[in-house]
Amino acid sequence: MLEFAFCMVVLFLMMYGLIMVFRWVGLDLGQRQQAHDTLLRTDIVDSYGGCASFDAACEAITYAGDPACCIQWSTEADGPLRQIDPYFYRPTRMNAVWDGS
Amino acid sequence: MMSKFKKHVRAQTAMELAVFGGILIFVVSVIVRQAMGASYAQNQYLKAMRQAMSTSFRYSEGLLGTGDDASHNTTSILFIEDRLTADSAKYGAIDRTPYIVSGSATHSRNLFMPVQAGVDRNLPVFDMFINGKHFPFQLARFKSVNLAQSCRGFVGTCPAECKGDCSAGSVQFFPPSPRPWESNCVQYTALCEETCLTSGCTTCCNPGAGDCAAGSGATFEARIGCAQLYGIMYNHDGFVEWCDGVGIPCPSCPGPGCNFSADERFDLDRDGFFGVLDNPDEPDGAQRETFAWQWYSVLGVDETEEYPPFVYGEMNSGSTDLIGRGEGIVIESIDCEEDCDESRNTSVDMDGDLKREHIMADTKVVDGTTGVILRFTYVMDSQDGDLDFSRGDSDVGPEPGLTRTARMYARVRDGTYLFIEEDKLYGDGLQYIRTTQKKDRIDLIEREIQLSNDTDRFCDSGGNPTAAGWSISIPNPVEACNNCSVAGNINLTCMDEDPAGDGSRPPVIFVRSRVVDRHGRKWITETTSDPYVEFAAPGGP
Repeated sequence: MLEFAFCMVVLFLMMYGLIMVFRWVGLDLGQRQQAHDTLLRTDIVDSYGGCASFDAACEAITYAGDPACCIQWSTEADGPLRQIDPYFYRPTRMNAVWDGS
Repeated sequence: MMSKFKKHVRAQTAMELAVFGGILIFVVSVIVRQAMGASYAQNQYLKAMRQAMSTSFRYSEGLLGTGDDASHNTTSILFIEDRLTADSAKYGAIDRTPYIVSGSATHSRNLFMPVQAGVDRNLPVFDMFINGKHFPFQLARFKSVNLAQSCRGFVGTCPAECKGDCSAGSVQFFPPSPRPWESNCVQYTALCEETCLTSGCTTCCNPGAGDCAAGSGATFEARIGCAQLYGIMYNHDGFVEWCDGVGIPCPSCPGPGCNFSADERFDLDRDGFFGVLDNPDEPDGAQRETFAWQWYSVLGVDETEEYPPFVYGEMNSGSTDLIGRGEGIVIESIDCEEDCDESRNTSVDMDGDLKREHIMADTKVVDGTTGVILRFTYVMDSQDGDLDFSRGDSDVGPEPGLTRTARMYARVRDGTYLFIEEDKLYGDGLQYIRTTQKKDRIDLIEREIQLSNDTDRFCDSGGNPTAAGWSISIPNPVEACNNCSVAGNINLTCMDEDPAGDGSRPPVIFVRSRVVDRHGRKWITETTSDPYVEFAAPGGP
């Protein structure tokens, strides 16, 4: 009886391990695809490389779109590059080995 | 009996558990290994696609290249990486699996930007990454084409195409090199009094009879030859010039629409023999009605409006009529803003390789006397780049691109590598010659890239790696030229400019990837700079 109980405990542990392996395997594939799709639909700054936001009070004095009234400049990286970054994802940690921390 | 039976079943559960556990661990290991492979493949696939999109965008936006760089309007990328895979090694994985993935993308910002001749940075590029080494292969090359040379004052035996007129005032032309030639291309008519003065042409006019005198009214007439070029006509309702001689008769010559006969149009290899008896691939009879394309005669005559039909040269006032079989060429200037002509017949076969070249705008040199004979132009030739991706079944020579050959080497000491080769599974006498105890050490993986042409981009004419045209961000991937198997070069990416030894085979690049193999000793994968894999590295001593 004791032996049976011990084996069942071990069996449950093995089943748990197997499930965790399945989970890790599926997570990595699924999350990468999800991250890819999500990033492709991320909002971007249409005026990338230019002014992202103007000071309305300043524009009222000068003219609309005056670069001197820009309070927030955007970079090229705020444009489509944000959506198509090749290094968009890091694999799910397997934590199969001790990381020493 | 009872106690004996009990003795047999003792520890049965534990044994079953052990067997079951062993199977389970095996299954788990297979799942992990397959998952890693699937993960790598998915990562490579998505990365290739994103890298292609990103590269095309960066070049189009001027973030890479020179700002007006059309080389990556359409970006094609090929990744080849020998990645470590999970195995049963005690301390670390040493097995590698090659992953080959390609991606392509087009950013349309500069898609229709006119490309200027001679600006090599605008030539299309195919990017190949092999274990991190970047090979940007150009898929075309600019080259000049001499179409017609003046017979005027020709020294030596007067070419037959000059029709016996190599005088100082000749208006005839001949091909600078052997090439198809239309001897009766245009008919040129001019007043003798002007022609004698401007061209010194006294062979066709008779000065003794007063032809060259002012107000004589005598005219001179000549039939002039020009280069015979080959365009393509498609079997579509939008191309009214299509004819097949079966359902749609071809125009007769001379007359409107005069061009090749039906047989000539479907002489695909242009050897002068027609139909399936000449070449099984050449359509014959009713097959022509459904064939996709045919040759179409284009003559080396410039018909752009900037040379109106009755104003030629600087002083001459002759007239020129196109009398040859075929159409002329219309090449509008890039800078044209008003009353621009629509360019026509600018993709023609000029070098006889049965494939078309694209004539570059603003590079044509037209004869000044006739005003129409095209003498010289620049073209973009998609068959003259590093790699010719237009290759078809009828082309001869080695197939360009990555070959099927891949070799592996084990390093013994500097300059000495052992070639790892698996022989036949069974030797003589059906001796099975495999051993599961053998473990190959792989320090070098070699692949071959067969080029189509030696463009001097990787190795210069002196046999050294070319420095010009490369930068710190994109260095020349070729580290050595020729003698690729000597000790000093065996571990370097090397280009053999003459692999056959007789100049018959285009260059081959031996791509040598120096992979890390710790030979099964304890080592820890350095992953801090690796964006692909981030398994936690163990600490400790």
